[in-house]
Amino acid sequence: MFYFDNDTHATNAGAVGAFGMRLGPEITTVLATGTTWIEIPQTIKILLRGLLQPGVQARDIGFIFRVS
Amino acid sequence: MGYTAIEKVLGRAASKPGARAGEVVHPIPDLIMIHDGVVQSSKLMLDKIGINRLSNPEKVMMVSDHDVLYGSAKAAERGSFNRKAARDWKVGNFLMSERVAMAIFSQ
Repeated sequence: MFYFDNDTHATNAGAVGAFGMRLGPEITTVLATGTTWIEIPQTIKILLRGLLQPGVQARDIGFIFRVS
Repeated sequence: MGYTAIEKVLGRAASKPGARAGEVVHPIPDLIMIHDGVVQSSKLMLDKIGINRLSNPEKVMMVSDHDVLYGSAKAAERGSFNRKAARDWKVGNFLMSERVAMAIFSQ
């Protein structure tokens, strides 16, 4: 499944194998016309090794990548 | 060379098999999600330019997940506006927050 969303949480759909793309205000274009242009994004591979320390969750890892 | 999952998904959606990262495409989505925080601005913007109906209302999922319980008069007014917009646009799916996850993952 592929869907457009105005919200940044669109990427959560990856958890079920779907691809949600966040557009922000551009969602209005999709509402009116049914689509909009996007550039197909690249895919990167991230390898994580080791164990998380007590109290550290997967979301904390996500935040590190977000600001990197 | 093989294709990534994103290339496959967007290539299918754009009817452009073999599309690669970096290419510009116009994919047709299976679903269009919009939440209660932006419905009003979108409706006013489209009304202003004379667009009073959506291209694919059956694909639209309008989610009220920010102001579910109205804590102010302003929130209640916006909620009322959003419900009217959903009716005017003939939105296919209008959902309150507790049903969002089930609705998305059941499709």
